[in-house]
Amino acid sequence: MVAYDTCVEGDELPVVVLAARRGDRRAFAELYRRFHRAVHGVILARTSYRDAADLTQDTFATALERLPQLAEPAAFPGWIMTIARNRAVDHLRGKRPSDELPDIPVEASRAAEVAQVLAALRELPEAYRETLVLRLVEGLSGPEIAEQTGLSPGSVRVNLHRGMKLLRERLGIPSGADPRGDDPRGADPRGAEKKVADAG
Amino acid sequence: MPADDPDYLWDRTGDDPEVARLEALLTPLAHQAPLRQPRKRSRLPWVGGAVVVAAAAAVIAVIVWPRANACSGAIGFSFSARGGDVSCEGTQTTAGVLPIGGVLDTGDHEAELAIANIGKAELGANTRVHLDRTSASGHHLSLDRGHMHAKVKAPPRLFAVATPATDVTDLGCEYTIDIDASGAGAIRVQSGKVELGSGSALVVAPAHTHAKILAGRRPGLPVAEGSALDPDVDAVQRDAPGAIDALLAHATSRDAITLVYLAGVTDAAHRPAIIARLFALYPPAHMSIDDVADPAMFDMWRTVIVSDYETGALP
Repeated sequence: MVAYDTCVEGDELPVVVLAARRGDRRAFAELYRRFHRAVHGVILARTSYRDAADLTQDTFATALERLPQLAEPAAFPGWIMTIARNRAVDHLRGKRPSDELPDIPVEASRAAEVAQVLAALRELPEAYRETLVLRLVEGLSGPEIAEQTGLSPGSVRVNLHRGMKLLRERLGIPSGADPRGDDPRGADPRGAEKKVADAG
Repeated sequence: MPADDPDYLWDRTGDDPEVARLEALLTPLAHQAPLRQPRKRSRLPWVGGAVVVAAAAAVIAVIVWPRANACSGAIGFSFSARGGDVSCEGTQTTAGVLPIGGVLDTGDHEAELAIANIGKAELGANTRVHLDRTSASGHHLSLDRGHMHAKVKAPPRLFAVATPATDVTDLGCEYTIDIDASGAGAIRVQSGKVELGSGSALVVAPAHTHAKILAGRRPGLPVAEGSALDPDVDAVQRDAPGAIDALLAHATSRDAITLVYLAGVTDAAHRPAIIARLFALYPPAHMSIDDVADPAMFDMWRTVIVSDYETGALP
């Protein structure tokens, strides 16, 4: 049990969001601890590894500024993911793709394969791309992805399996039949945030 | 695939060597950086320059100013005004440090006052406070008049507010005090509890109660939020004839929080009737009415009532 400066006790997300909104730095740090990987994954699904870390920090700085505008604390996951997507899209606007191979933090013998898989992931439809980056790069489980993005567990599970089927095909990895892998578009990752258009 | 079948891609149950290989390949890219200190960003590039110029001007002003500002020291409670200047030690300012012995008067505006490092107080307009003492052993403010909403996170009794009529001792952690020009007023407790009074005349007001602060009288009685007993409590606190009998007649079990303190501050003649009514409304477990005549047993009963009120066990 955590007691924040507002004297509110509890670990439930709305309690932490409310405490952060009242200016409690520890509560905001707790939000960062819970959501930084998901935010980074959403950004990395769109931008280079080099830029993703800075944009993650930028997303949290924006969230801190705009927390007073978030009417429903429970909507925080979808809200901050929308901020992250918008930051990534703004960053990419007018920017030419660059070679990220030198920035990838793995030994040289594996860097090319990492870059190839990342490139294949980024070519997937948006819903699959994001969910698979969160699963394969950030190490979140399906239930954690659902909790941290505001998507329903069913949508996440479908996106994981359909996305993985497409990824296997694009990487030339043989695969058995997957009953979930039959929709080329996937569940809309932004569906959960349509209520929180104030995220900017 | 049925939902409860092993599914490595979903929740790492079962086995999928290819997914595991991709995970091992990609997880070095996972985010691990700590939170950088978030800063509010300026949307206008000239603002940064203006800040530098203002800071330089402030440094020059400090150097050439012959007299130190009484509210710019390091020891005291820092404050910032909202909506306009407030008066600290007679000087109009938007922010500063209220020194020990210093007076802060918000005038037409509002202010936020840090309570050392244990909390903060929001001060309404026309509020005057002075800082009596601040040290590791305790922080004492006086609220002469106005409105204070305090949030404190600290061990009980580390923070206290003296009003003209009574002392309010923080037992943790959020409450609102209003004091009028006569020194009378009210306190409303949002969370935690506070102790009202001084010496032996003490009343504890737990969360979701309010109490009057009575000029020149005993501490006000805590009244449950939503109780219909306020008019009766007011009459008792004015010593109106027949007021205690009326209060006892109207009280419900939720008003046990009021009765248990009324029994403690009333005169000896009325005490048996109050205890009898309290016993009927909220009898203690394993105690008879004769038991609670004993002061130690009564204290125990009062502790149970306060605790049951705080936890919502009082019906």
